[in-house]
Amino acid sequence: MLWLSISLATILGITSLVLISMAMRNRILLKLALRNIPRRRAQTILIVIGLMLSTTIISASLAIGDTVTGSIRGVALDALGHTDLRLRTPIASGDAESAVFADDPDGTAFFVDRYLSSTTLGLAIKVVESDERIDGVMPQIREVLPVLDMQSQLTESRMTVVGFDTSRQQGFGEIHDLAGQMVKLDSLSDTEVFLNRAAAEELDAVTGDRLQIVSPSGRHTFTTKAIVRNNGLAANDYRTIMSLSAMQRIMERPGQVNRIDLSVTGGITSGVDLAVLAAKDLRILLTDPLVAQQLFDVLRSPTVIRTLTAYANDTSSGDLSPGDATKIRSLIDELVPGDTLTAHHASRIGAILASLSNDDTVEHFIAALGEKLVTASSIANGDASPRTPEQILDVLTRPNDGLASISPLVDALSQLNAGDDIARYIEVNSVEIPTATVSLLKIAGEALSPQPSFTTSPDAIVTDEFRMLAGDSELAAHIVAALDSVNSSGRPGLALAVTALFSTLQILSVDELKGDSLELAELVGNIFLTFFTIFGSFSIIVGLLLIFLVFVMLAAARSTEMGIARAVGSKRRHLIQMFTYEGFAYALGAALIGTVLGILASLVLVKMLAGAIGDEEDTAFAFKYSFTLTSVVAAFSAGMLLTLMTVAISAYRVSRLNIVVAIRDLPQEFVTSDTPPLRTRLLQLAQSIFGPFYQAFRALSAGRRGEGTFLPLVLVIILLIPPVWGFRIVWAVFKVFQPYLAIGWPLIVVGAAMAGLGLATNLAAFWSLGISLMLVGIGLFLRGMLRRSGIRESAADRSSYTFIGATVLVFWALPFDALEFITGTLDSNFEMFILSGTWMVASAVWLVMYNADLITRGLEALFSGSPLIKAVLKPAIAYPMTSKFRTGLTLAMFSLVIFTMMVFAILNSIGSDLDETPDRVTGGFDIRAETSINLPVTDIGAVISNSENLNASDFDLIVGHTDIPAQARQKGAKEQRFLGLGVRGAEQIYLEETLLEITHFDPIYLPPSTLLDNPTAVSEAIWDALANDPTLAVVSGDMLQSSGGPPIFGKAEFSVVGLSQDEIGPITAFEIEIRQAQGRGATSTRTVIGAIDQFAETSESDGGPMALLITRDDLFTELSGNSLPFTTFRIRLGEEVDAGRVAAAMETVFLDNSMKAIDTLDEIKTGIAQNNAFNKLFQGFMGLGLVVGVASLGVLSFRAVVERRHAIGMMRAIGYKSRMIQIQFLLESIFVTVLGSALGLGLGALISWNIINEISNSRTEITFDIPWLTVMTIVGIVVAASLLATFIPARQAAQIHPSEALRYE
Amino acid sequence: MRRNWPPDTRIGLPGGSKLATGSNIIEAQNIYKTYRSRSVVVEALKGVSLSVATGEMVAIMGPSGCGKTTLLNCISGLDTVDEGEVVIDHKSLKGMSDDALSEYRAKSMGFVFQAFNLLPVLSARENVELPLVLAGVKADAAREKAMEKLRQVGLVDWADHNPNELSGGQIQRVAIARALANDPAIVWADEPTGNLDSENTVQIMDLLCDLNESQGQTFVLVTHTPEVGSRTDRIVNMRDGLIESSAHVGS
Repeated sequence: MLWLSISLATILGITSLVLISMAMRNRILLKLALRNIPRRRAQTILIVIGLMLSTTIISASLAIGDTVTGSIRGVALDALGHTDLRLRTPIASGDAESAVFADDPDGTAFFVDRYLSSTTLGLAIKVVESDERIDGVMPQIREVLPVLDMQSQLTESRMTVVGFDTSRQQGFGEIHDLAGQMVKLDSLSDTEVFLNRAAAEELDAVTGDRLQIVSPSGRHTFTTKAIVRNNGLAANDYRTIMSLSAMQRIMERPGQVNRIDLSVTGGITSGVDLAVLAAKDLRILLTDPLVAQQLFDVLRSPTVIRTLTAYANDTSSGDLSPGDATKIRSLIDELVPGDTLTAHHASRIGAILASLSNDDTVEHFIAALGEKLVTASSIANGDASPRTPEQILDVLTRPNDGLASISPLVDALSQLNAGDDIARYIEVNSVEIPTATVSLLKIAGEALSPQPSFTTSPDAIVTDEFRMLAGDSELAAHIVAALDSVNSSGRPGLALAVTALFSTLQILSVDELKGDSLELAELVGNIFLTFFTIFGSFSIIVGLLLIFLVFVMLAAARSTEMGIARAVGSKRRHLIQMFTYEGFAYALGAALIGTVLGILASLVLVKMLAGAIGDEEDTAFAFKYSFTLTSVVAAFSAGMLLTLMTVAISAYRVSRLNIVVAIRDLPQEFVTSDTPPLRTRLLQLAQSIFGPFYQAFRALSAGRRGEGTFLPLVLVIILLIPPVWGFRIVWAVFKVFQPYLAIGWPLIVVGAAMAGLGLATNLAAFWSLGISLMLVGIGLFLRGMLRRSGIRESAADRSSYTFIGATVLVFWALPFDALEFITGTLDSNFEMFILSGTWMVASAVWLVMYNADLITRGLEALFSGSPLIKAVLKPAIAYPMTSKFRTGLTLAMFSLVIFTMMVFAILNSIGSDLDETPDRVTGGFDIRAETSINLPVTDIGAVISNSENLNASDFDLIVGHTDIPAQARQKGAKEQRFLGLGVRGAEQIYLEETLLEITHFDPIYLPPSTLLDNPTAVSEAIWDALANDPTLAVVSGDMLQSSGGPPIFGKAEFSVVGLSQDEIGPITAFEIEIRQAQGRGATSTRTVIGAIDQFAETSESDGGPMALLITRDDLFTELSGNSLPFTTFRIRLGEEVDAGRVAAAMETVFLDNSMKAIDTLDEIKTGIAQNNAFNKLFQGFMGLGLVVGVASLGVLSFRAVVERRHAIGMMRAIGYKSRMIQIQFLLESIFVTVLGSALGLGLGALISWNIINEISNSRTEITFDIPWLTVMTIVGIVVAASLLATFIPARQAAQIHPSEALRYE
Repeated sequence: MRRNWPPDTRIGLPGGSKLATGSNIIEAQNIYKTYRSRSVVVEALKGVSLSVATGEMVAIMGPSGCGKTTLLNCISGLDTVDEGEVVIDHKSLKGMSDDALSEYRAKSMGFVFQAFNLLPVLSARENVELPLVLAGVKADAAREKAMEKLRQVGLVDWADHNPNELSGGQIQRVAIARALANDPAIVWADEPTGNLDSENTVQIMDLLCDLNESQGQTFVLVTHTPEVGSRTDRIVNMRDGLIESSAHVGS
């Protein structure tokens, strides 16, 4: 963003400088250009308004992005204060908050003890205190525990309770009470706590209140010493602060902590870069040197290096056996696509051979390779049989020669000690190793020994670089996966050993808390920015069209004046300059005002959003409006540059005016543009290629002559700017071929090439563009034929243009999969939405404009009964339909914006059917009650029966399950790393009772009588299968591949290969291997027989939502030997029981279990409400685009009044009343608005229908539904706004006095 | 001269009044008109009186700026007068609202101008239809009538062409057809031949005279072309906002 901002500003600066210096050299032109601005104030204001809208939209999207970034940053900074880094036990991130299953001698329990021993703590403190960049060290215990305020009797079941080392507040900032008085940590006694404001409000607590805090050891009473501001150490969640010793007491952890926060020097926001450096060093220092050496020794063995090399070469051949003939063949096909062996192939083959541990497999491999080469090409050349590895490689690497015979090769191999020797040969002779090895070779090569080499050097020592890389969990996972792949071929145990080493390598892991949070803020902000820019791009395009329109009309108004200027000898470029200067002045004003207005608009939008999202669940998050200077500069520069560009283009267009036509104010149709001859066009091409050099030469020679070199040099610089230079060349090339384009066939050729490219690259965008160009080309070709055939020119044009418009429209309107039988499945993304929107709108407008008379006739027929209406209606339609260009542009503006809003409104209404069929998301349970794994509920039924607050008869059903983070990999998939996923172990009755909808299923597991097209029956049968067979599982829909959509967070997480979210229905079951999140303990296998609705369930963990696998809870015993208590209960209540009330009561009753009970229906409603709020924000933003359209109508009307003065006078003379003139003008804008809106609505509905059709492949319950109320409201507002914008010009028109209008002749 | 006007009583003067043969259809008494802009005051008419008999064809002539067009605008009701009174068909224009004047123009008057006569976005026929539609004639009848008028001016083959496909003379003929569409009592023409060459001027004047003969409508022309003036019944000469002379042609 910063870079973009700077470069935009630079380009703008240079452009302005050049324009200003040119203007200064010829001040008369400048004066002529600028004098119009103050002279016609109303017009100037109108122009500035028209010009500023694009800038406004850009500025608004940037400011919204900034606000989101700023808000998240703000929350993160509030929460972290001075804390930059965190030291903790090295466990997989996203591990549950647990200490209970700690001291487990076998190391098979699920949860690692996250507490640091006092020895580790001492070591860590020593290490961090030796680093002078670190100015604060805060050992602490942090747990989430239930808290009860004994005075107010209010509870918070999920309070963050922190015990700080009170002697170490230094470096973490001050804590203030609500009155602003500083309070110190070391003033806390062992029975006192601070509550932060959020917690105090939640508990309705005041200073002096007695609190009960529930820990695994029981209830403990504390006194509230002070209520402190949310900030820094007091953070912004619900937080209770006590001394470390008190916390150690209630957690029964004497001398221990579970994390150490670090602050680097510098303030709250600065120091992130310093923290990165400090973290890097700390990671090295906090590596166990003994483990590092062991790991190093294992990894540098040649076998491991070879394995890694093969793995990095993306050739998972480890599990090949001689029997895998097809696998070997496909591998070879992949390796050697053609029939020629090159050195590159040879090295990859070498790497594979090296990784094969079985001689027979090597033999088969080579045989298959030879076979392929024999069948692929004629092989002659009777070489001597190669016997040595050298000879084999010689053959393998000889280009274009092929193999003389296969048998000698096989013979040679049989004498070899299989792969090892070949591999060594490759190593020794430094045969080219493919570049794909980058990160792994770093480990295997550079990092393992000082010199990058593949030979083993005995005295190699562990370097810091190695420790750094070894600490990278991504790399570690790859290495383990690579070693794992050899497991099956005879080297078992290695992977496990390495895994163990990796997991104990780090004494403590270092989290870059602040850096990561700020990065996340940036990421989320950018997602918002991208979203708004993508949808805003329509409005920006529309805004640019408006600028163009404004200037074309300005030029029309000036045409007489400019014609005279040309007649008395002004050059064309003088006109361009004059026009550009004037435009520059407008653009400057418009960009300034537009930027400010955009910021204001975003402020209003954010206020709307903040009002809607400000939900009590999210006290920690508040929208804080903010924007950065970078964004302001970017918005201003981008807006101004876009405007200037449009101005320049329109100036160029204007300068080509025909002098006579201009002076006599004749219609421009009289101008025939003449194409310069080919020679001239080629010359221009040469000029644009060598332009910069020519200008540089001129500048030099001017300098030698002692003339001013400033301007030529500036010109050189501008011409050398890559986009400018490139654009000029592309433009010149286009110009060379332009005359041939109108013939049609070149476009057909280009289009076909592009479509072919699309098929080759599998990109829908290229394919669709190509086909569209072809259709345009065919149309143009048709036109040529028709014209030659003697048909009237206008008829020929009309029929061929109608052909183009209609075919292109039909092509883009086809269902997405209509042509799949030709194209296969093409990749598409968001660009297709923009492309289809613009193409559909353009072709529809084209079609309408060339067949306008049909509309006219239809309307006339409709109103034929009323001559007076007809008298007004007729010119009201005829005028806009005659100025095809203007009206087309305006129509396009309206339809583009309405199109987007329509699509959004329809897609939006899909989401809201959730509240009608909530069961498929909630599973048919009314309450979800979560407890802490530290404080499990032992017998939920008994507690409810004994409780006074709960009535057992309210409960129909209570079932339990536990979600834990784990790792998994899919059998047979290419990805063989174990990646994170959430696992739900559920009790049998949960599986029997849940109503979650199954969208993908293996029919084998269904009873034979099940109707496959009945989702309810299928779902029930699959759940029953799961309940009865513990080896079966289903996965959540978000684990499947999806077909595009806007990018969400990138997560290195397990996903299923081979299944698509979009293709619901029968699948083939597949197997998943599962192990604990730390990679320890046993591995279990589950057969996945189905997937649930993609919106139904995800697993929440520290790292955000995770994909979920659901199976019976037997899995936990298989993995660790222990069963786990249920942490989540699903409750079905009796009829008419208030879920909200029961949930609240349960939180109180199960306070000691830290229970959070949620009314699931209410949760869905809140979600929908928030969704709607966002949609409102978005619609408001899109509304800016409509403002553009409305403004353009106003501009058009003002212009029309001037242009049609005489005609109005004449109409008045023949008897039109003044009100009829006014109505005629208003009707014109209504006509354009309604037609544009109708096009937008129709096309929007069409594409939405296609989209929904596509989605409904995966979500059967979706139906196409037009939200008529929203749509009609939008159209109503648009029409009203257009009427308002046209009102003044229409009144002006009505006030024209006939005798005056007719006097000017 | 034959006096068989009005030929169609449906489209007559407001109130359907009948005219006695030889009575004056236009009576302008002592009219004054002054144009004021910020700095300039132009006395365009300084007390002009003019009477035109029913069925008469009068040409108003004079040098540029003498007030011809102003006089035409004032007595046709396109413009208001500062002083004096204009009576058309025994009905004073004074005090008529703008709407009433518009309606009057639509039903009882025809206008031909030097330029800007036609709506460029409508075809010749549609242009001729406009005054009929304004007068409330049904679509079919309007179309029929428009075609009839176009036949009268010899342009029936060009009915569906847009003005930019017609020559200057043809445009003027369409304008005349339109001016006659409602069979108005009076046709006002401001420099109807101003933009035409001499051949077209002769043709247009032939047409106008012929229509005046056959239909008996009253024609008031503003022109500075002597040949045009000489084809009319009477020439009114103006100078400096006053009528200098008024003489019957040939007398």
